[in-house]
Amino acid sequence: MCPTPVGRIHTRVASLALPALLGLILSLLTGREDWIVLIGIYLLLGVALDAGLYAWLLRYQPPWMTFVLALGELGMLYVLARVLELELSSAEAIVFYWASWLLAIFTKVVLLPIFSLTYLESSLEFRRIDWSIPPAQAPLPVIAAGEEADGGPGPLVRSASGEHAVPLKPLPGPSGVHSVPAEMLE
Amino acid sequence: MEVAVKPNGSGPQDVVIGVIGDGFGSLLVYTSAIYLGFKPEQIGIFGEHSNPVQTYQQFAWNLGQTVLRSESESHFLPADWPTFAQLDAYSRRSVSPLLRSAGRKFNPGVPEILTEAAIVTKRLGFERRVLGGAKVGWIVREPGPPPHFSLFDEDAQLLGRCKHAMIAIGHGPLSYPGVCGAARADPRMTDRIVQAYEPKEYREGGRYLVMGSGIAAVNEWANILDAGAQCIALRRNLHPEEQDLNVPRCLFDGSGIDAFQGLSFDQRVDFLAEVLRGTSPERRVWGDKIKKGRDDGRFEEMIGTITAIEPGPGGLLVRLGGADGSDIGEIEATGITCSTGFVKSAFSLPLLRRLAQTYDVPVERERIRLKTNCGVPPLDREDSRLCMMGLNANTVVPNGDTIAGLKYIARRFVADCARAENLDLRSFPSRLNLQIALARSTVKALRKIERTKQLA
Repeated sequence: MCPTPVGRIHTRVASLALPALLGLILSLLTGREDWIVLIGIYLLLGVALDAGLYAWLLRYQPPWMTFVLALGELGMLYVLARVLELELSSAEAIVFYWASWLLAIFTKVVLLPIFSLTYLESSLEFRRIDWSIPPAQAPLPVIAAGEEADGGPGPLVRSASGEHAVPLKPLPGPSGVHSVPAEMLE
Repeated sequence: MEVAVKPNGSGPQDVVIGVIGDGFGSLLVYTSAIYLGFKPEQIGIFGEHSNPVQTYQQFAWNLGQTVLRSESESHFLPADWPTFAQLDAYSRRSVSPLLRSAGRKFNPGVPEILTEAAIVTKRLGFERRVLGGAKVGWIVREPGPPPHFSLFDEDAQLLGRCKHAMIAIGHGPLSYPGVCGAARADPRMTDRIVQAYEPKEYREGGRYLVMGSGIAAVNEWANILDAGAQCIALRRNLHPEEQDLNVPRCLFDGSGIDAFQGLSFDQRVDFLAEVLRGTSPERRVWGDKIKKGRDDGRFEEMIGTITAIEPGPGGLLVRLGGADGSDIGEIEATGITCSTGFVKSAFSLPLLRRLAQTYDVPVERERIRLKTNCGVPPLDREDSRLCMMGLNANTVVPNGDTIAGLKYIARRFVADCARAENLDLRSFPSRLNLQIALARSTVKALRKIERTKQLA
């Protein structure tokens, strides 16, 4: 997956819709607005990271990286919640975070590709299904794999060529379709 | 234009979307069209076969291919969820495909992906929409109103008409580079110079040369070593890329594809020549076989080419030349396998050649100079699209001949048709319902087949 910065922000906002709904319900049920505030802070933190760090750091993002980023974001969100003195216990905040993360991942993996047919192939952006023109992107680096071949003929080719070549056992051709016409066989 | 196909298939076969060709590409156009809201009777597949995987299946069998090079997202369900790894994991009650997919080490097995294609084909009624039962030989632009295309077979018999057309005719003929082509034409050697995609058999004690450096070549190296024969791997370029996909991974995403489209035509062709010059995936099983073959003195790689081929006592006498033009010498070989893919020239496909001749379609460096929306100039227009997909369109979509690339083109072409026809798009619940129904049928079918061993 090679999300663009815009794609990251689109996804972040859309995937936090269900967690926001969960936060709203919890706030209404408990009378504490800190649940929905926590989601608001998570959204701002996420957008800042998407725009300022991830887009620069992770041009290609393998699937397993999603969980690693979630762990990092939990740490940052926890510190922010403490600094802003939200009235949620550590256990409440952590459980709520992981419940929200699971909802966000469900939205991203299941709902968004159905909602937008080209969501995944448009670098996680919500685009009209069209032939669009987004920013440039660099290819992956080339990995060379030809040390041996670079060194010229090796023992196998040398033993099979030249004056001292070992004669090859006559065998039928490999083709499963063609055969030598009978009149051409000696 | 009214859709006038009768329920029994007789009468004029007029459709809104006509797909010329009956392979993977046509199935993906069909599924995308159904998913977005077109009705089956509005779509016509103009080809010979009702099984869209027939050609691929034969090639895969000949290659001895067991897994696809594609990754988990590349499969035949219309939308991108569930991925193939998720289907596989659910059907086999195993997390292994998910873990592999997370590490980009999951490749769908050939039997599994063909099973899914068969399910989608049947459930969406693809077979019933194959019209005419003949290969399209001619495309004629009709000015209308409304503007449309008439499709004729090779004998100039009218097969049907369509308002929008997608050319999905697949690859050109197999390629036999340099002296291999001439030698293959000699009946004394025809049976010894084969293509990786042809049926073939390697024998113990034989010595085989394999030309090429892509996935098909590596596959042949393994097959030859498995047979107990010697393998000399010949390639023309010094450094093939080592990656699992046909093009750099980010070129599979919209951003990469559109950046590619931002290049000039010449830059795109040059870029393709560079990135597609040979990519060989690093697969554990193959690596082990090749290492063992090398240790046994039965495998060797060399940079160079074949300069002459003659019949010899052991089968063939092959003269080898180095990359610098030097003469390496003559060796005996049992056979030569050309893993050099397909002829990319547009002129190798009669339909395209006629199109270029009749309508002055621009051709440059033997490739049709498509518009950035894969449209064929000057015939393509917004209200009656004529598009091309597959290898012939990789000057626009670099991975155009992969499942991911075919999907990319199919979706956008169908969306263009939907806009031109003011189609009422299928609702979200209906899309979800369709996708889940297809996924459920696929899962059921996957449970009945044996899991293919992963190579990575």
